[in-house]
Amino acid sequence: MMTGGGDFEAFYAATYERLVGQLLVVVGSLEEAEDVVQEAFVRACGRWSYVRDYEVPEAWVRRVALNLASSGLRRARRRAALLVRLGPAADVPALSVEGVALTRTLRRLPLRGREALVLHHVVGLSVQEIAGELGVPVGTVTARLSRARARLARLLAAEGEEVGHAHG
Amino acid sequence: MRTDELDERLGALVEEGARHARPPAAATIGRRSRRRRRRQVAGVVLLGLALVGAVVVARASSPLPSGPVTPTPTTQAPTNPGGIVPWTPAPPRPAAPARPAAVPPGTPACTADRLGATAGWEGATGSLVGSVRFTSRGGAVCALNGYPTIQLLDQQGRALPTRTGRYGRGQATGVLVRPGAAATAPFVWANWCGPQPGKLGLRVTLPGGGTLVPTIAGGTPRELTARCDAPGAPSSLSRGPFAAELPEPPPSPLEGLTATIGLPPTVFAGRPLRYTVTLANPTPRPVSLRDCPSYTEAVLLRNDAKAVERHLLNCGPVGAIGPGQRVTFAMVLDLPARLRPGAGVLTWVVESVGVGTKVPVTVTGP
Repeated sequence: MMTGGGDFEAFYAATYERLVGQLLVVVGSLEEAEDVVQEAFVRACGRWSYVRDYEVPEAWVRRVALNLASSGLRRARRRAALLVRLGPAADVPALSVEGVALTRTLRRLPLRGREALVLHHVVGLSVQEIAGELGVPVGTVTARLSRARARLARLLAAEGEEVGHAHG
Repeated sequence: MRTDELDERLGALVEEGARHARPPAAATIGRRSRRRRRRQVAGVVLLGLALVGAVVVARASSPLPSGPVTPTPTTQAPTNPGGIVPWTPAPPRPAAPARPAAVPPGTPACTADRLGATAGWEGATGSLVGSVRFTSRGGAVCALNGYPTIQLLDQQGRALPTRTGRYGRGQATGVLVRPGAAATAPFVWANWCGPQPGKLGLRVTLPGGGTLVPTIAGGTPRELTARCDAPGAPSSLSRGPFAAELPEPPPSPLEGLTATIGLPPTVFAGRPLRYTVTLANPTPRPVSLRDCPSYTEAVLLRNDAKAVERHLLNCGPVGAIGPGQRVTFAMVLDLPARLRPGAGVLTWVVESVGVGTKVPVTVTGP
């Protein structure tokens, strides 16, 4: 956790990679995860004089990145803009086969479900904390989480069967 | 699936993502932040593509590339996997304006018990700019007419003394709120010289009756206040009329296409870059190109030199791309002689659907 007085560069260096990892679960692609996390840091940088005084500035950046992943900048258009805006980039390192398979499966869940999975299973927030962070009722979080878990389990089980058949 | 197994698999993916993350230098984030602030100063709200669009609209009206011109297309060969569809310099199609649903006569005015509300804001050169979003509750169908009354509340829920005003030109028209169709109302707060109010909240009074306290969206800087610009003058809160939130466009069948670029071995500044884009349809259904899309093509070099154009795809000779088929289109991008040679990428993208790709490119001197 970074508390007041921490400088932006240290905060950025300490949290960027972790946030990209978390957003990867939600958006399903490294490029897009980096794009929304970078944009969230751009906004945090402009407001650092008060964002740094938040109890958990990282939660603010994550919230903005999640908002960007789901909203406003319409996603299809963002993908298009991204291609142009990113411009020259180094080769994107490939995820492992397992990583690619899991992101592909996760993308079949609703975005709100992926968001709940990340906040609960990766960030470690309680259902109450997630409700507070997202500004939705506790029951909504519980429902999103249980639906996402059940669907993910079904999808992974089905994939396991397919693989089994393919190998069998 | 057991919870610990889920934790483990998601955790492994997060770790892998974190390992592959390539953070740009913090200074780059700072520069982008300053650019963003300058855009806000200029009142430019749209990001990314709009910015590129402005550049390319100017370029689209520039003279056509010199050199041999591809023959005018014939209207034959609907989907000919072997042939190359010639390039035409057709300008991009302007986006059709989306229209909100009309309010049927007799629709009741929205009252607070029929609506849910959320609000958010951000700082903009000393002011706070935000909006309130109204959604239907319990399946209600109703109309919002005119302007809301918005009050800012301090952390204790007390109204801050502000002089309220209106902004926005023209007549405020009624907006239909129904399940799946929301309305928004913008507001701007300026010149706050009073005490720090703590976490800000809002209270909204509807013209149809009733008061709402919107949920504040996550990520909203709740402790930010408007800057004190004129200590003797009152603080002002201006709000705009209700406006329909336009729904997301339906998914386009074009989203199923994939694109690949074919580049010549050498690319020279000062000559038109002639290359190909192959659109493939991996889906089991034909993809119609009847609503022919516009595309953006851009050479973006690491030395910041760039050439960008927008055109309408030459769909006429194609009609549709069948399942499993591919069609190759000839492309031309004018590379001016002043383009500083260097390495970078050639990007090609159908902007409305995000279908596109990019390849490394090296531009050599004329």
